[in-house]
Amino acid sequence: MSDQPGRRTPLLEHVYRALLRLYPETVRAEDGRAMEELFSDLCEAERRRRGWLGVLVISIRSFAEVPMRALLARAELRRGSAPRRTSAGGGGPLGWFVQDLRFGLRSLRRTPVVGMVTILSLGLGVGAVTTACSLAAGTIFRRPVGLSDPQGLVTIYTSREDGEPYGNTSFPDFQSIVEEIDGLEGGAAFGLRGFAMGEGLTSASILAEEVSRDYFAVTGIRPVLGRGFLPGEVYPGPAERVVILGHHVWMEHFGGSSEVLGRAVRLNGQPFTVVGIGPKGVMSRRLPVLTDAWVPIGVPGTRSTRRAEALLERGTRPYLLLGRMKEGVRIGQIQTQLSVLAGRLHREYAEVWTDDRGQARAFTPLSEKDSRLNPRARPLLAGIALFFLVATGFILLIACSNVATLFLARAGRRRREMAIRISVGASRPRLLGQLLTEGLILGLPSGAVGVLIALFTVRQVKTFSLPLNVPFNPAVSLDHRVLIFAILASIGATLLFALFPALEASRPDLMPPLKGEGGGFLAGPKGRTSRRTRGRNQLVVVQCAASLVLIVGAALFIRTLQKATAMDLGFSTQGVAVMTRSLPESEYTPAEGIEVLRALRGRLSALPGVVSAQLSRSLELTLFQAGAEATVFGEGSWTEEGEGQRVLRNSVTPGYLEMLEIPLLRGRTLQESDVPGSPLVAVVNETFAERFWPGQDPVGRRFRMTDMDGWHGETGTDPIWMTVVGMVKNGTYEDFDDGLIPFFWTSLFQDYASTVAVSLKGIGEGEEMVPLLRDHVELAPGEVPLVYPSTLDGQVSIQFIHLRIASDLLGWGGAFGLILAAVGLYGIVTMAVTDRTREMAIRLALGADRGEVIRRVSRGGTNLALVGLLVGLLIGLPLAHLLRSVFHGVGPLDPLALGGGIGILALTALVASLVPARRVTRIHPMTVLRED
Amino acid sequence: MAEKEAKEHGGSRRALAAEEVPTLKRTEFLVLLVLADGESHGYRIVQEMEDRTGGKVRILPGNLYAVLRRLSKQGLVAEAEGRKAPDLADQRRRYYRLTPLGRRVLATEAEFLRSLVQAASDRNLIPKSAPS
Repeated sequence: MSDQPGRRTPLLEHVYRALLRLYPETVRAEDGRAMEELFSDLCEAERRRRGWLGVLVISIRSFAEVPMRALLARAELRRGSAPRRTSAGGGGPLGWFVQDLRFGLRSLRRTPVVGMVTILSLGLGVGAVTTACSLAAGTIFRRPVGLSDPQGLVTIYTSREDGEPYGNTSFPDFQSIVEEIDGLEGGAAFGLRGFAMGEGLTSASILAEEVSRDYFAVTGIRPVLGRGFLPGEVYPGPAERVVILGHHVWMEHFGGSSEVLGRAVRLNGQPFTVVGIGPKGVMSRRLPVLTDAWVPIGVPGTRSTRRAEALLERGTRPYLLLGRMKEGVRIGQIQTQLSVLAGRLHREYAEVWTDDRGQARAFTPLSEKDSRLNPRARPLLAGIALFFLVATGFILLIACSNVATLFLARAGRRRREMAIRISVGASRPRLLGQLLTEGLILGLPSGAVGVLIALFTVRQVKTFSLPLNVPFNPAVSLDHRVLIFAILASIGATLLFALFPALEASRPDLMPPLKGEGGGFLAGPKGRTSRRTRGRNQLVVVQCAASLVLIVGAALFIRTLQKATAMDLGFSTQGVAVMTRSLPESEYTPAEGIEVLRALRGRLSALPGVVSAQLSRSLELTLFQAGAEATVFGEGSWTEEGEGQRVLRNSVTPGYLEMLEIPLLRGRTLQESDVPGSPLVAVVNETFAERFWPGQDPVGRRFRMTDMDGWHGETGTDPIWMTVVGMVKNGTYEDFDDGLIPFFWTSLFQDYASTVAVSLKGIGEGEEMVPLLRDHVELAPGEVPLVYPSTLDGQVSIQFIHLRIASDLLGWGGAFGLILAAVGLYGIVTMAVTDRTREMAIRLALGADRGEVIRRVSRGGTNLALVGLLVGLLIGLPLAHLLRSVFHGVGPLDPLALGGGIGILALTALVASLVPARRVTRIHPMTVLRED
Repeated sequence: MAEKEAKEHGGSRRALAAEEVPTLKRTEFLVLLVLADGESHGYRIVQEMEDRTGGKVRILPGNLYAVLRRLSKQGLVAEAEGRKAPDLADQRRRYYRLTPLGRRVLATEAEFLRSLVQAASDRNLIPKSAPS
């Protein structure tokens, strides 16, 4: 091997050089260069011998060595004497510290299990809490980025139909506010709007903020590159097609190149000129996602002209408002001025300014801080956040209890050692120092493991994508405040745990430990419960209780998901693939549209392997339920105007109900003969029939509905009545927990919709049909499907996504908790039993029955666990009761979840009590007694 | 115990040493042993130590230089002065050599170790070594 290997590891050498700064100046001046040289040579040699893995190993070992060596060097320097072989009693706090450090590391090496359990337990706990806090801080409690002087901003809401105060505002009302409210310097209206960026099926969905002219001036958000919108580019100007891209979109899709400025990108098929790049990390004020782009309000849409029209309608309220208050103006003053304006608007535009309850609408201003979360969603979001914080808190609690138990037990075992140290003259501060140093040795790596776990999980969350065509850029990163807290917390925890036993052990009654009397279990040797034993017992109880709550919670969630997915939906998604297709409204009349759809269906039906090809206005139990709600008026007892009923509907091609295997109970289903011109017909479900014609045969009955959008009737006269021709079995159509809703189906050929779902059913799995859809359904220029080709099964499962995520997280949490609890329980019981080795030996030597001794000892452990489980039930049951709305179809007393949780923990406690007890009784009594 | 054994086989280390001799740790002994062959630099010392122990002793930079500092403070090794390296890269290296005191201490320690090995060998703990 060459003596002068080349330099290949500059980064590692750099790190090593930086670490060498830990050495005292004199030592560094003397040996620093040579050490760097040697490190570099060793790296090179390892690289040749074992490759980069070898380099990594030698680097980590060399790095890890430096702090300790540097400390020793400093201590030696301070002593100012030649190093001695043994440095017992070395002077000064630093010398003590170094000594304690060495001793701690040595004793850790002797009992690696204690170290490993501590580091893993605390690491998992800290990691879980850090992740949960980071998620909460990054989404729900995130501070806005880019806003200048947020205290001067105010969000203004218009009350909704139902009188709830935090609704959106119409553009004309926004203009009135900006013009008439004196206290405001300016205002901005904005709304979130989905765009497809790019073309066809390769396009990416983005969420753009549609903003009014002064948006950037009012918020203070400044593009980092390019410019904001010019007055002429935004309504009431001609509203040009210009766009400011979000920073992350610019980085991801355009590689962060400044050449993108001035270029055109396609949004919903139309070319938009990029004029600027937004600052990093700006979030939508509507959803906890990053804003992907900004476009001018009123920019000409693609398919629909409704956007531009909406700007003129006082009754259409799509926008959220932010106002900039003048210097010295308070929200109260704004409120007063807004009330005056609202009164006037109500007088002038009574129709759109009166809500459903017949009362005048109102404006409500909220400070920027109070409106970061949608005020309506705040309780729910805060509830979810709290739930996860509590759940992760339980994990941390179990972890801490584990570590505390271990430290306590270890301190108990070392009472003899402490007693000897004190009796030969060690001072209390000296002993405390030693134990605290040992705590520190474990605290630092625990924090590091926690941070690594948090980094990993946060990265997992970031790459998580929803299985649907909705952009989801969670603005989550490891919060540095949380990070610092986590590191301090884990170090603090270990120091604290080290401290309690240290205090206990450093003030011992010297005689019993010297005589070899250990602490008892549940009760001390003479029937008294010592303080230490009591503390340890309490920890076991806390641990059992926390574990039970966590495990039962997780089990309940998993059971809920099981029940939800195993539930009979009332229809079959088997073998069906779906996508959506929109015909441009401007190009086709309903009659022409029907012909285009009919031709499409005919073409698809003829494809090999296709059993059924159907079209529908919406898809049951998916997010694609456009126009699925209707208000209907029936014949008979409920014909009065104003007493319509909210029902769900779908218009479908004949054969659709058969494709989904919805069983027909009465009459007939929809047929090919149900065409424009023939009588309008409908098929209803059982609930529909029961609600409107209780106890009667619905077939032949008539009803009509108010929402006539897209209605294609030949008669053109009002009202248009539909005749019920059949009744089908009930199913789950809207949201799986919504209960039974009245539902009816009409023929798509009589009840036309320009945007439809195309469904293909084959003999095999739905996945096999997906490519057929992709290849054979042609999209219009610039069209982006609302639902990309996918299986119906997958679309339906989106309804369960919140449950799946929650149960995944809790499932992992529960598994962590169970492992931690089992390890902790086992450890503590083992320690306690081992402590009683001497007592058991004496009993056995005196002729006690072996089984009886095992029972006596193990009873202590199982009793404690039982108390813990009881406490867990007392805490857990009310908690589960509070969360019962989350657990669909599974009661908080679900026997499987509850029984499983209790069973697993009880078994763990039993095994943990029996195994060490049996082991100890196998040792010959004399061996034990002779040890003392 | 060990001292007692050593006495039976030719006296204690105190008897062997003419002066107050610092006791040596294993790594210190090995470093001195490597330098007994002639002066050497850090990397080569590490390599030699590894070779002589069949890869059982792998010393890290921080440890090696701590040992070298200690040994030079005790006067057992010294930096080799005025050594002209045959090539450029070696100019930056620092060479160490054994001092006469170092050589004596090493010999004393080796003698002491031999007595211990002999004691172990007499009790059939290890195979009898061939006479050297």
